[in-house]
Amino acid sequence: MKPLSIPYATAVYGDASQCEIIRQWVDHPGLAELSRSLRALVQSVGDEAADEVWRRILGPIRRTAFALCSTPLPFAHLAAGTGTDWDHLDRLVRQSKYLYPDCYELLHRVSGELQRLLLENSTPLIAPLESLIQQHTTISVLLRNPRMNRMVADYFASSRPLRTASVVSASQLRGPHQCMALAVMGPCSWFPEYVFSAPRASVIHVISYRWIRDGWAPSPRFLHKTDVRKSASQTHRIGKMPAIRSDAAADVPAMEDLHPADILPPVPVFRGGGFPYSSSHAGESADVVPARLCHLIGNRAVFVAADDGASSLIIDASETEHAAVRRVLVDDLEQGMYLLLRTSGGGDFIAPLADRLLGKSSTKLRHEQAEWKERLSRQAFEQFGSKSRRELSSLVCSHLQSQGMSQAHSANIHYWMSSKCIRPRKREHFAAILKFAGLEERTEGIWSAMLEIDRAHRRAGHLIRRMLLQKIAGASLEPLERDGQMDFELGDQGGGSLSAYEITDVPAQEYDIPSDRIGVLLDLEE
Amino acid sequence: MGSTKPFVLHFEDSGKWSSLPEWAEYFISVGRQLATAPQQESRLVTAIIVPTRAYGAAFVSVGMVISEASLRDPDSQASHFERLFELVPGTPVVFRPGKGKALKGLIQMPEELDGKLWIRVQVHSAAGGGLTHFVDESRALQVQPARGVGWKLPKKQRKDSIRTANRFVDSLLGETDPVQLGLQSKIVCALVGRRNTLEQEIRKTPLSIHVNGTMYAEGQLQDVLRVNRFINPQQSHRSALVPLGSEPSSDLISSVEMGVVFDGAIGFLKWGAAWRTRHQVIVLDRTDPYFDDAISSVNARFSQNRIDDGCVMPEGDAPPGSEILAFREAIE
Repeated sequence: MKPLSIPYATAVYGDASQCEIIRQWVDHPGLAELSRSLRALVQSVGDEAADEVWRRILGPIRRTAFALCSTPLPFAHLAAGTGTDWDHLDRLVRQSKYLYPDCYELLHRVSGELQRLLLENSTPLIAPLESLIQQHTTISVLLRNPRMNRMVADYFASSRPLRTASVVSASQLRGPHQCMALAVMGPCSWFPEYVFSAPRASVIHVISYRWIRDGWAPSPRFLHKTDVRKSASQTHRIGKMPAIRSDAAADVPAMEDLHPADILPPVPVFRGGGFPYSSSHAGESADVVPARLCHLIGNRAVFVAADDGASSLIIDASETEHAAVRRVLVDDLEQGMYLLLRTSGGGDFIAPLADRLLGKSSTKLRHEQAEWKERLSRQAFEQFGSKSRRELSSLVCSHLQSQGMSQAHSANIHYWMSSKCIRPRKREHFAAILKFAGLEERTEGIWSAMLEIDRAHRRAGHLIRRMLLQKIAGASLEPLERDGQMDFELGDQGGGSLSAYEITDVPAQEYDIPSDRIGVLLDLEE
Repeated sequence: MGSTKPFVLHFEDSGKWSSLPEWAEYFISVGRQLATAPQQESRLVTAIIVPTRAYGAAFVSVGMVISEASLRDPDSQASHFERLFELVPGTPVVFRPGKGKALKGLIQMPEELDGKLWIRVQVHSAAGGGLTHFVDESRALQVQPARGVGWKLPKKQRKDSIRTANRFVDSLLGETDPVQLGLQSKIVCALVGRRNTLEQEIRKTPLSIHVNGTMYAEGQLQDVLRVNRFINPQQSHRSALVPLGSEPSSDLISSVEMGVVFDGAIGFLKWGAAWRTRHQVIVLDRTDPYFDDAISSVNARFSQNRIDDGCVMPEGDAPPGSEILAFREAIE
């Protein structure tokens, strides 16, 4: 979170005191009917919804229906933006007639109705925004799905009545973003509570379909003892909170109304992606490294190396006045930081640039790097038999310890075997593993070669960092803060293109991952 | 900062000075409240939910330091007098004969006159007549060792040769003798939070004191807080910063005298259990990614450790968008 000044903090307290949350309902009978049918379908499918076939059918349908309920774009506009292959989906629906005959009728109806809606060139969510702009001149708009931010911002920019509307992210509303009026597209419970309890606007309009329930109201967060004897409690107090009102008298929920969670697409789950993801799955031939799954904005994720001392390049837009580009240990990665990834050509953006810096010698040096790892793995395999990489590392570690290398750790040896590692930090460790690999006589030469690669990697890292800093200094980071994602083109200077993604979570669980999957963007929606 | 104070603290807003807003005054009052709360068998835990964490922890700490300075502890006066007795003759000291006045001095051999003990502080060189002040126990705190410096006495010196406290500090302390704040290092409170953010608020935010509508003195919160990480080795400190990335040392944990102020959820979740005997103030920003975790932790402590003992919070309404819970927790 960026530091705020006293005047700004005073304005925030002012907003908390004066803010009014106004619920505005919109209608669309066709979309209401579709949403209810979809809920019935999901309920009838039940636990089978997790099956591969149902995921491929229901996933795009639920995401598209959710987009219609939550995005202020004409439905036809959304059809192009969701990227759903409707022909493929139609085929799957037809197949389901034989696989799931009980659900086919309903599924067929839902799919057909959804595709008919996507032909409409309007949405009920836009008219209230136009009306608010007439009232407030400018408004900020918050969407539930940040992946739609850019598309909606482009649409606003191209629309005369909506030109003064700007899209903001929930992250921006943690910090110094402040506006006269904020329009929130969807029921309150779709958004972090602070959007309403710590408002950055004088008025918040919650624009939502009438048939989605929305019962949110500010409530105490602390447990407390009610003191009935005193007018003002001596142990618990609540300051003035935003007031809530509705623009319509008829906002009593109906029985058939949907719960906000019913509309949301399924929570993405990491399913392994077809490669080893735990020690029990890792084969002996796999070049695997320990990794953690870093969750990114928009239901994406990436594996980051989790071995001792591994770090990732991030943009830190918090604390200082200017964003910083720095390396951060995996344990220090935090929600709200922006992780830098190579956009194309694999996840590693340092190695290709380092090879360019090494010039013609890179081929020979990389060959030597691959050679000592291959000899190390082969020797382990010959000495201890066919085992997983992790088991072999442990056995090599015991062997080295018996030879007097008391500081050997299984995790380190595991990492040294992987292609990601250039060299151990200490020369004596390197000498010990080369001796084990049968390369003792070439220790000096290979060590020098690895030092040269290491230097090139460091130079490449510095160059990338410098190029990024130049890019950042000359560019507004608002798209990054709004969309949680931004591309940086460093191609003209040899750096390729990088993308920064906002980190949303870094669970502690570790996986064994093929080293070439480190840094590769995964889409958890698919 | 009651209405009887002769000054009004101001902050800068677009080039103009404005009086400190009510929310900031409230945080100062929370800190002041702690200074008078006993902590023998239980300590006070005050958790504050706010719409923005900005300046909350800094102002709470200011309230604690100001109030602590005003608490004249007779024991500390006596023990300070004893420590002065043990100083080697020739030790440099600062002598504060009155408010806003400070002189360079050298300790001389103590004397006993008419059955009463006196510290002797020489303030003029021998060539200038060797003027020496006799200081008894009641004025012991006017003499403070000047650590890390050495000086020769001038022939004569005016009564403002050294300024150990500025007008900004003098005004904030009101009737309290600023000598207590001036030279003696101690850790009244520890601030746990992000270093850059707190440094911006404590060291880089200009504030001013206005008297009768006119600016009287300028300063920063650091002038009062004297955070250990923002001073040079020659200066004394009154509070300590614990950055989020570094574990507080056992020395630091044991030397905090009054309380700990957690600026945000992460610091509280990481080091909330480190100080088991000192008051705690926990400032929780509703927008903090770890807000819910911190709320759960506070609620767990409230339900498990709370003791129903006298517990009060500052008078007046809680700031808008805030929620405040204060309870007493048994000291293990």
